[in-house]
Amino acid sequence: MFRFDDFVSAAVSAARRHGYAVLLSRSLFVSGCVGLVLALGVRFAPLSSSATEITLLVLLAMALAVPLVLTLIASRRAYRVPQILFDLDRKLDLEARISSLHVLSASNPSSVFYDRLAYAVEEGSEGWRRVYRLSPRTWSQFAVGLMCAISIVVLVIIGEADRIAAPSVSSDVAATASADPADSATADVEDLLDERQSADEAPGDWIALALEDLLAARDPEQASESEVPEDFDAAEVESYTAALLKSLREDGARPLSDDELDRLSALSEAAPMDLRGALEAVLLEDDPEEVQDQLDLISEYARQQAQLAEMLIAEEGSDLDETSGYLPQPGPGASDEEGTYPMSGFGDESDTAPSLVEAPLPGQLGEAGEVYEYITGGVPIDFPTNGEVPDENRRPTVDYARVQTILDTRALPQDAFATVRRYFELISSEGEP
Amino acid sequence: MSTQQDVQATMDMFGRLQSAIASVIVGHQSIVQLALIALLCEGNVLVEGVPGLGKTLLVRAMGSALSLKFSRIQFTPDLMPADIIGTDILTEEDGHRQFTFSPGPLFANIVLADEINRATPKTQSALLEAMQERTVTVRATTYPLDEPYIVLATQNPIEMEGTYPLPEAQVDRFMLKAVISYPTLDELTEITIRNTEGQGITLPEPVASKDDIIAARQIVREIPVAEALRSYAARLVHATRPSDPSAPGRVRDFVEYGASPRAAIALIMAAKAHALLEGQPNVRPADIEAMLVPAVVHRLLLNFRGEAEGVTVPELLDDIQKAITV
Repeated sequence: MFRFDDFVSAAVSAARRHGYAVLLSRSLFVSGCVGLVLALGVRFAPLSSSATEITLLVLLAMALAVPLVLTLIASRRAYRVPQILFDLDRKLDLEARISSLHVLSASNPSSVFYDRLAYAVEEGSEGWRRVYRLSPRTWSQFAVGLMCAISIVVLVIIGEADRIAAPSVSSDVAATASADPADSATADVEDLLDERQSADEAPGDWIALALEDLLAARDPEQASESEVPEDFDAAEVESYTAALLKSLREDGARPLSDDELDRLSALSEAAPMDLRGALEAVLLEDDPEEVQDQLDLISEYARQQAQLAEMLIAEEGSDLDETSGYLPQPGPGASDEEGTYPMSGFGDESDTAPSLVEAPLPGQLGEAGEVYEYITGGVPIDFPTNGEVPDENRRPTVDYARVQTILDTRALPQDAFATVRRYFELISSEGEP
Repeated sequence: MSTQQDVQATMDMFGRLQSAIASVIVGHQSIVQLALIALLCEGNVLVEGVPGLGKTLLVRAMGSALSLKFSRIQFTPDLMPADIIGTDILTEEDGHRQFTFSPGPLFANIVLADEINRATPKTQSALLEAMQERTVTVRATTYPLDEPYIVLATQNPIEMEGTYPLPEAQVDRFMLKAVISYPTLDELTEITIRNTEGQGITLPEPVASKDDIIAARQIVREIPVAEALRSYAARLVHATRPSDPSAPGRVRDFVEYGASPRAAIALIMAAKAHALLEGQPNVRPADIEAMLVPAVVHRLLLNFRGEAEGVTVPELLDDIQKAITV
């Protein structure tokens, strides 16, 4: 016995479910694709990790919430049974028989046409549920939308991993990169990489991140961080950190005293941004051995800065900040004639032409007299300190230990080091450029 | 309340009726069908065609097959309203003189108003009450007309000199308009055979009665129309109006006045009757589409630009049908 009312109820329910599914699929497809595109844009945009993560979470929420909200709104909307039945008529090619029977059942169920129509509907509507099967297109849209949402989740997870690793990386890198004008940054990168790899993370990611952080620290646009306070004295930093280091080594592994911490804090406040970061990292460090290592780096860096400043005052003076004794950094686009450049372990990769750094002392070239040597910026160079060797022998030399560190940092093959070393030896007559 | 047997009997009856008329009229099945639809829907039909195409014979054959009273009025410019509706005449009975109503030719079941556009508007207007209300009022007395009642009016589209185009109010009262075209070569050959051999044209024997027609009208009204199709018919009619946003561009450009609500009523009713004659238990989209032109074509008034550019109303209705979907 064909019960038209039951048929209508089932058809309306199926139509509504089908409509919701189609709406959900389409909206998930659209919102997922849009969300993924925006998420990729955010992921590679120059935003802080926390801002990126928040934005990604918002996009993920939107990608998932928009379809659900739309479906919820659609479910709240009144639906028109006649229209649903007429659509079913069309899909089953029943020539409005279901709709007509619905009209009759509501207005004149005793009509002479009721039975004829009921019979025709019963015959013609066999397998009507196939009408409401989801089409491959709908399934495809759903799958693509879901994959887009999952991709956003993956981006969020990656961002979260970055954020978790970011504090130690940032502080360490800040400490090392802040000392970047000298060689301490490059020396410490190796330690950083070791630490990160020991955290069982993907080495490639850490290397990429370390380079990113270091390059960001070396970004000329962040040169403001290297502005030298007027009351900064590199020699003072060098002498205190050296003395403190000596004291710590004599006393064995001990934490810093309050006085020592206060003094380091005072020095950091007067230091330029990069060195300040390194000093603050020492203040926050609990491991006495780590403190000693970092103080060693800071002391060495401050010593070199003091030496360079002293030499430049003696030789040129014009480019030196005499008040601080700190070697100023060239600004963006600065030419080699506008300022000297510290012997950094990392060149500015954004520069299309290498910057040249003038050697502090002139060299001799036979009878031609004095020759001012220029060294490509970014090549890790050591200058003998004043008094270590006679002035005529004070020549900059390539620091191959830092070269090795740079190459390792950039994940270059080991045999690259031999090539690089051979190159410098050839052009500098056995190590003296 | 109709029964299944009534429905079957009605369909059988209309089958016999179509066969009976077809025994006299060669071709023109669509015109016969429109006349029967109008009969089922209590409507009137305006038949347009050149002389000699069998319009009068069609109406006579219908009257004969239906066993209904048939009258024919040849409209001329000097025809007066009293000539068609009847008048009071002075009679004397038992020494008393009194006015007695003498019914005109409108008092029949099937009225053929031949060349209706040759009569003056005054006489044409005398048909209005009969066509719409199925009554005739003479002086202060209203006389009901016998059911079933149908007016089939013809007009000649080519001899326009000395004619009076039907006023819009009267045109609107025709439920359907049928255009009789020339017969095909085979039909023409058959016509010559029927008219020149044997005993010539013989009108068919009655195959249905008044009561059959009245019962069939009740059945037609019971045929259900889906809500979506009712809406479809309304939208089709609405789109004939130039001000309607859904009207096609050519309708907005070339139509002065669109169809009246009577058009929608006529369309739905005609679709119902069409479905019944097709043996269907309900109105289908095809029924509405088949009846669109006959039910609406005479209700659209083209503007000057449309007339000047030779636009035809069926073309515009075709545009509407393409623009409006179910």
